[in-house]
Amino acid sequence: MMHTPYPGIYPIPFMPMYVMMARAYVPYQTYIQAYPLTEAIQKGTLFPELYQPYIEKDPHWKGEK
Amino acid sequence: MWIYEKKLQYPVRVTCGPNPKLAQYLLTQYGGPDGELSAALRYLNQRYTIPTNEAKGLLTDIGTEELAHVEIITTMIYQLTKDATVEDYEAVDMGSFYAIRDKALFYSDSNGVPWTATYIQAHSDPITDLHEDMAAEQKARAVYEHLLNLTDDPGVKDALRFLREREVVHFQRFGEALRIVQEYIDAKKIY
Repeated sequence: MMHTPYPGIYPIPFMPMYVMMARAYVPYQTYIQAYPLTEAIQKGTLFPELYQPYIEKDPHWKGEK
Repeated sequence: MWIYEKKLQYPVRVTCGPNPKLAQYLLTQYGGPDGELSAALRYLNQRYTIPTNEAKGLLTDIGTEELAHVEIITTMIYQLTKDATVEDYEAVDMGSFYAIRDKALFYSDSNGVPWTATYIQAHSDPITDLHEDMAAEQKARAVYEHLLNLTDDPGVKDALRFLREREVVHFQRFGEALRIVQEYIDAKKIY
């Protein structure tokens, strides 16, 4: 049996059922798939949905791609 | 208690050194307001009063990882300065850095402003603390992007991209801790 220290709150849904004003929500991640480990360390994350690399500015075009 | 592994979380090999100017830029991620030291000390201090086992565990884990990032930053700074001569410092107008410390590190930002505990906060309110932590991750991500714009050293860029991605992942994890804490607080009001 899964250890649930706080009864009634699990599983945490992807987004809350009832959204309230003046609150911030981040989607709750559930496992879908993983990169191979060598690729994961190189990318900085195990999870494709969290891999969000920075697209660098091109200095020759005044910051526009 | 910590177990020390005598290797970096991510390997660092600076491509083109010495480059004391780039080392100076990187210094903000060492002892700057949104640097890795600030992050580690913020999280390892907040963990005592945060409710829920998930949030306590997360602050300890991420706080520990930020210490590993401190090592990565200092390794880059060391590699960029270890073979630098006095002339190299003078050539990029960094004689004042050399005059004070030679090649020693110091907990300061790139402008030499010393690290201060006022960079970090703790309020015991878990919503407040987690929002600060999420903001800290975003600020560190933005600074890594500025650093990526400031260098074309492939070795430095490679490590900076890894560290930047970790900020993205940590933001997600703090966001999930916030979701658990929100549910936990709401459930307590009902029972």
